[in-house]
Amino acid sequence: MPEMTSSVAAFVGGDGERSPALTLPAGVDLTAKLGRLTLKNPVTVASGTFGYGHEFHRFYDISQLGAVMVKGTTLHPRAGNKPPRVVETPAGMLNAIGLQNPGVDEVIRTELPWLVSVGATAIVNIAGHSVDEYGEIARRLDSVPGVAAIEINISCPNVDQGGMAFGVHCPSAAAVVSGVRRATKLPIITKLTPNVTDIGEVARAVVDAGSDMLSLINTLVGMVIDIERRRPVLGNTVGGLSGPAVRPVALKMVWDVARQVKVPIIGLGGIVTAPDAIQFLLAGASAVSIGTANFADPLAPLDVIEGIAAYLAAHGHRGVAEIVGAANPGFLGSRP
Amino acid sequence: MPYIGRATVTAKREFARNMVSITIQCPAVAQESLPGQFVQVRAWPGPGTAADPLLDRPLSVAGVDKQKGTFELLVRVVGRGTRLLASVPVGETIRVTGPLGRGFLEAAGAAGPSILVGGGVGLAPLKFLAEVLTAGGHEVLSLVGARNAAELPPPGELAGKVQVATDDGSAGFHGTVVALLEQMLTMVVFRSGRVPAPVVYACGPTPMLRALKASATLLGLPVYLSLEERMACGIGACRGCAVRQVGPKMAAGEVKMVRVCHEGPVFAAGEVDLDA
Repeated sequence: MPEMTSSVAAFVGGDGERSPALTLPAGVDLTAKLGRLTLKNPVTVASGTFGYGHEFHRFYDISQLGAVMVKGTTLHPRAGNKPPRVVETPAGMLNAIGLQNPGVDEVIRTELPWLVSVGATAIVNIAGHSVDEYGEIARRLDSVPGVAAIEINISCPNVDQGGMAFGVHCPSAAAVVSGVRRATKLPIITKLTPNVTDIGEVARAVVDAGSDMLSLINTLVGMVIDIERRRPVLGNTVGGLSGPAVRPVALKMVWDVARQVKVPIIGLGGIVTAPDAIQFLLAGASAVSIGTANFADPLAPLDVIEGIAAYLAAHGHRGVAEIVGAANPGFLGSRP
Repeated sequence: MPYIGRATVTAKREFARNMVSITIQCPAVAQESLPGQFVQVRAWPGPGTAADPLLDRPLSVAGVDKQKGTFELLVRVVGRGTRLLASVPVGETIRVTGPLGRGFLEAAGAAGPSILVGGGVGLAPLKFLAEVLTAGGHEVLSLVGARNAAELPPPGELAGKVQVATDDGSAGFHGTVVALLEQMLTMVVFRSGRVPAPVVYACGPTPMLRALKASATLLGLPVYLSLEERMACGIGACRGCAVRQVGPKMAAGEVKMVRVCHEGPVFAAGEVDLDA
C-alpha cells in the first residue's frame, strides 16, 4: 500500500488510548443515506462481533455508531458449535461459533428494547434453515420498534443447514430474499459470502429478488490443523477467516459488486482503521462494518468514525456520499 | 466499567522456571481486581498498525498492591504473544483491559477454609486467592503440582500452608496434585463436626480439572474451577470461549452455553461440561 494520506495517519488507532467520546470536525455531515435507511454515520459494527451490544456499551456509548448489526438470530435458540470455536491465524482469526443465539423471540423481548433504550440503531441479522424460516423470522421482526433493517445472513459458513448453503447459488439466494421481502416492509440488506466463483452474479440475483442493499463480505472458509494431535484445531473442523488478512480480498469484491448493482453496499472485511474504511468507501461502499477489529481493540469503531470525518474535512468534502465510489470508474450507484 | 488503556511495567522477576512475574502500574486494575479475574494484555502494536499477533492475550491477575496501584501477572512463554509480553523491558508500557470475568469468591458466594489446587500458570489466580483468603483470616492450604522440583515456585510465594507434588517425585508427594488431595482427604475427616468442610479452588490444565472434579465430587466437597478456553475478544462479545452448562439448574433437554470470559472463568465444577 502506498504511503498513508497524512490527514488520516493520526487516526490509526488500535492502541486503546482514546476517549470513549467522539471528537468530530465542524462542517462535515457524516450522515450515510443507504436508500431509505439513514444512518448517523457510515460506521457500523458487523454481526457476530458485537453480540447484542452490552459488552461494548461498558466501554463506550454505542449509540455513537452508525448501526449495530446484532448477532445472527435464528427462529429457535441455538447453542452453537463445540469448542474450540476460535483460533488465531496470521493477521486474522478463524471462528466457528455456529450462530449461538437465544432465538428471535428472546431477542425481541429483551435485546431490542435494550438497544432502543440506549439509543442504538439496530439492524437484525437473521439466519434460517429454510426459506420459510427466514420469512418467519422477518415477519416476527417486521413491526418491532427499533429495528432499522434486516440483514439476511446467507453466508454463515459454520452451520450444517442454511447459512452459506443458500448464499452460494443464485436461485436459493434469490428465494430467501423473496421470502423475506414478502414478510417485511423493513429495509433488507443481504450479506454475501465470498466463497463463490462470481460474487457479482449472486449480488445481481438478490437485488433482483428485492434486496434493498448488500453487505459484503462474510468470512472466507478456512482451517488450521494441530500437528501434534494431528487433527483440526476447531471443534467444527472448519471456520470462517476474518481480520486484516482478508481485507484486500473483501475490497476487490466490493469494487466488483459496485460495478454491477446500483443499490447501496456496506463494505466489510478486515477493516481496522479509518484509512482501511476509506478504501471501501472509495471502492463504492456507502457504509462500512467493523468486525474482528472489535476483538483486538474495543474502541476501534470510534477511531474509524473520527478518521473518516478528518479525511472528509481535509479534502474539502461536506458529506460522506461525495467520496463513495470515487476511486471506481465503473461505480454504478448514485452520488450527489 | 473495566479499564482500557496503557500501563507501565514496573518490575520483572523470575517466578519459576519458564515463568516470569511482571508487575504493572495500573491503579484501576489494582483497585478493582478480585482473585480469579483476568486482564487482556497487548505488548505489541495495535491491530491498526500491525496485526501480529491480532488478538490480546488473556492472563489471570496474580496479585495486587492497592497502595502502590500495581498488579502482578505470571507469564509462561508458550507462543509469540507471551514471548513478546515476557520480553517487555521495565519502564515500557503495554495495553491492559480489565479486570474481566467472575472470580473465585463471587462464584463460591462466601469465603472460608480453602484448599487451592493447581500448577504452572494455573498458580497465578491461586496466588492472589491465597493472599486474599489468608488476609481475611481464613485457613488456606495450597497443593502445588509440577513435573519436577525445578519447575516449582520457590517456597514463600504462596500465602498460607503449601504442599507440593511432583510427577517424578523429586520434591514433595510423588504423583499428581489430585492424588495428593485424595490421599490427604482420606486421612483427614473435615466433616468431623468442629472443622467446617473446606472449599476446593483449582486452576490448571483441563485433564487435572477433570480428575479433580471427579474425585472431589466423590468426597462431597464443593469445587470451583477456573477454566481456560481459546478466546478472541475476552469481553463476552464473540461467544468464542463458550462451554456447555450442565447440572441440576438445567431443565431436561435444555442446552445452554456460558462464556469462560464473562460468566466465568470460575465455575462450580458441577455446572460446566469439561468433556466437550
